[in-house]
Amino acid sequence: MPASWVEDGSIPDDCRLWRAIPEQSLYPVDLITGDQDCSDSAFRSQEVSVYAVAETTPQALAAKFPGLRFRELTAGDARKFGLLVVRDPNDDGDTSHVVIGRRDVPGSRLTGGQAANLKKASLWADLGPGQFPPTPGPAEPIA
Amino acid sequence: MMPDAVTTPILEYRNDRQPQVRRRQLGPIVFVQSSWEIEPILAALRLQSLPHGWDRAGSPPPGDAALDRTIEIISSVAKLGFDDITAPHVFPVPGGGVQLEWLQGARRLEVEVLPDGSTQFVTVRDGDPLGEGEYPLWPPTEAKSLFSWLVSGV
Repeated sequence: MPASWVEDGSIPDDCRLWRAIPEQSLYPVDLITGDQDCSDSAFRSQEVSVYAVAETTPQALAAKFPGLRFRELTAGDARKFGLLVVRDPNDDGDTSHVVIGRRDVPGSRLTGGQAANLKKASLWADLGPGQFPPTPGPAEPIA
Repeated sequence: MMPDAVTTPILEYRNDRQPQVRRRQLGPIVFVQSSWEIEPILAALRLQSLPHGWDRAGSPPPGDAALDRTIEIISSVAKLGFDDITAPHVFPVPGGGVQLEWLQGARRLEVEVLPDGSTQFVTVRDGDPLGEGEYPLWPPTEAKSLFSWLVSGV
């Protein structure tokens, strides 16, 4: 839990935040392609734990949460819905850990509507558990 | 009382639509009236077997209060008389709750059962929340209005 539920203005609105999604929150949307969606129940929490991916790596997060998938949203998304974005370093020293919580009632669980908003704002950040799109390399000169 | 986690529940399907059909949980036996109730009730009961920390954040599996209320809600919805309601998805919620989600096209009705058995609902269309509040366990007409909204968009 954060030491204090105070908005952290040092986290920019465009900060990309990844949320680990347990397999129990997934459901299939296309049995042929295997596409999955997730329930917003994965966002119904007192403190929605996310990670600033620019301060860690997808591989490190996959190692921290083996077998889980990740949704990405931005700090600005959370603020747009009236939520706080608070830095909360993990006990293991991982300073990329950030918590999203309620601004109106700090420390209380997100409402269903707030969870639904966060879920709608988020997108899959991976292709499946531990599978990430290749990072674009430098442009090849045109021959 | 909920059955033990290792107990396979027995579900008895009665297609007689009689309002006096007994629906209480009798040990491992759960009476159901509609066939769509079976899978979500089984899914809810399976949540008892989730390991502590299933969400990698220390959450417990749903307890008896949440599961009893979840089954009660599923059964009560089946009594509302809608022929076009499908089975809800059943999800565990961080902290020890259960969430039921009924999907009908672009409309979604979510009912969250908190660990103490209290209930909340949210209506969602195209991913946007429209309304939320305490889920009306009684009177049934209030719950019926939520499901009327759900099926009216199909």
